[in-house]
Amino acid sequence: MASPIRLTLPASVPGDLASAAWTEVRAEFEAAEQAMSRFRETSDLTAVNRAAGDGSFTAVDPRLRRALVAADRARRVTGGRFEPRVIGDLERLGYPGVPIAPSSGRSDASARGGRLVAVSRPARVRLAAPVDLGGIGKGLALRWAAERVRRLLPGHAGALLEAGGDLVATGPRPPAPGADRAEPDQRPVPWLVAIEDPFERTGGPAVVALASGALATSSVRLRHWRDASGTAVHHLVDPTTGRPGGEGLVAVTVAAADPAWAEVRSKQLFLEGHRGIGGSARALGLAAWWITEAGGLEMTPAARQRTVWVEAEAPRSS
Amino acid sequence: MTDALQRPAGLPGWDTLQRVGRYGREASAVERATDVRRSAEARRPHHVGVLLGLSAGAYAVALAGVTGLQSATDQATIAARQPAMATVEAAAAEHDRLEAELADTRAALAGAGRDYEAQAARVADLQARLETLASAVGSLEGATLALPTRLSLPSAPRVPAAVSRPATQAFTGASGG
Repeated sequence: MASPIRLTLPASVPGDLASAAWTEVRAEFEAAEQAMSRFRETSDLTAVNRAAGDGSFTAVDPRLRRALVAADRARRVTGGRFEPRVIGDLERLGYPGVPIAPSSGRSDASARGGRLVAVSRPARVRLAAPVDLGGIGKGLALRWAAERVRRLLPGHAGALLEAGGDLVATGPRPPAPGADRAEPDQRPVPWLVAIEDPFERTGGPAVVALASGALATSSVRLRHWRDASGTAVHHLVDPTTGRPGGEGLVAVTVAAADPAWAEVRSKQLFLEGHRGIGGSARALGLAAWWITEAGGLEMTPAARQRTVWVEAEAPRSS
Repeated sequence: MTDALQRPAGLPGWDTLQRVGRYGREASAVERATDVRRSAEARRPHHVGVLLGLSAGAYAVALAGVTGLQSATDQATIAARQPAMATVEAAAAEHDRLEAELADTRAALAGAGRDYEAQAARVADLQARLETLASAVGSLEGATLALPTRLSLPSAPRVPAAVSRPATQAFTGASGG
């Protein structure tokens, strides 16, 4: 959340329509931020988090209700690997949001277990423990904004919407103007997306093709610091330990049809660590790429099919 | 003359005699002994009969008593032996059951023996086939030794490979927020 946003549209889209699409996207992200951000004092999530545990229902934006239900389902589907109830752990590590309760040494581990949210109609929710919706909130905002763009631009080639390193394509892009003039029927081509080099050595270790769907990356490149004891930590917390997870990994990218689930799976796989990510990703049938602490790029067979260029395999020009 | 009787001499087994009478005429001793002997001789078969009858009766009573005693004793013995008999019968039934089980086991063992023989025959067949395969492998190994170590293949057209990174429209990575 609070991430830079970029919308890429085909050149065939008229200017006013493009402006309208951009307005829709910004409005959706603003509404999502107001509903789901734990860094905003006036957000619905802040209000619900402050009431967590007292048994009361709070009226919220429907986006937050859907997000909490989606987060609860993601927790169950991933067997608890994806767990939004980690605010206490994040605060102890030094990654606080808006204050929601006096520091009382609350144990996130004891607050987990059971359903994440109770819902009553029309849009009232109750939490047993405060939650953080950072990654899945961004994915849901991308989903809803892409829906707005899709409804606004029917019949046009696809659009590409990016937010904070995650992205979603509503369809393939038109071919570049003037390209392949010999081809009479120029079909739309997939978007080409570079996987970021977390060590910032090159332009990225690989380029992948995305005709439609989403790519999401869980990375510790930006959000890492040292805690009070001087230990290097990051924000991707393993709910089973309360400490940063993903041993041996720096970044994980996952391709999926939906941006919210791409984000959920990227975090789930990151927490598997280098030792377990390959087996888990293959078992789930995911197209996943990961960069190790040693700087190497690895991927699943499904990801290989989408990869159009790999830096390590590129012929060296003599 | 007194009332006390005296046993006249010469009359054996004579123990009782009615008093003749005190006031009767006194007979002579000889006459008296003769009368007594005559009277005793007339009463002897009757006494023997009574004695025999009494003896027989006593014997019958004793015999009945003994028979009764024996019957009671037998019944007591039978009653005392009844639990033991029940145990013996139960043991006999268990023995029959074990014997039947042993017969079944013998039959199963005989069947297993037949199966083992069949399996042994199969194993022998497999071993023979393995030996045939081993000889074939040996032939192949020998044949492979005759293959050349290097083969010259026809030339294939080379496909030009991309040497530079393709142009991208976006990147995916860490959140910039």
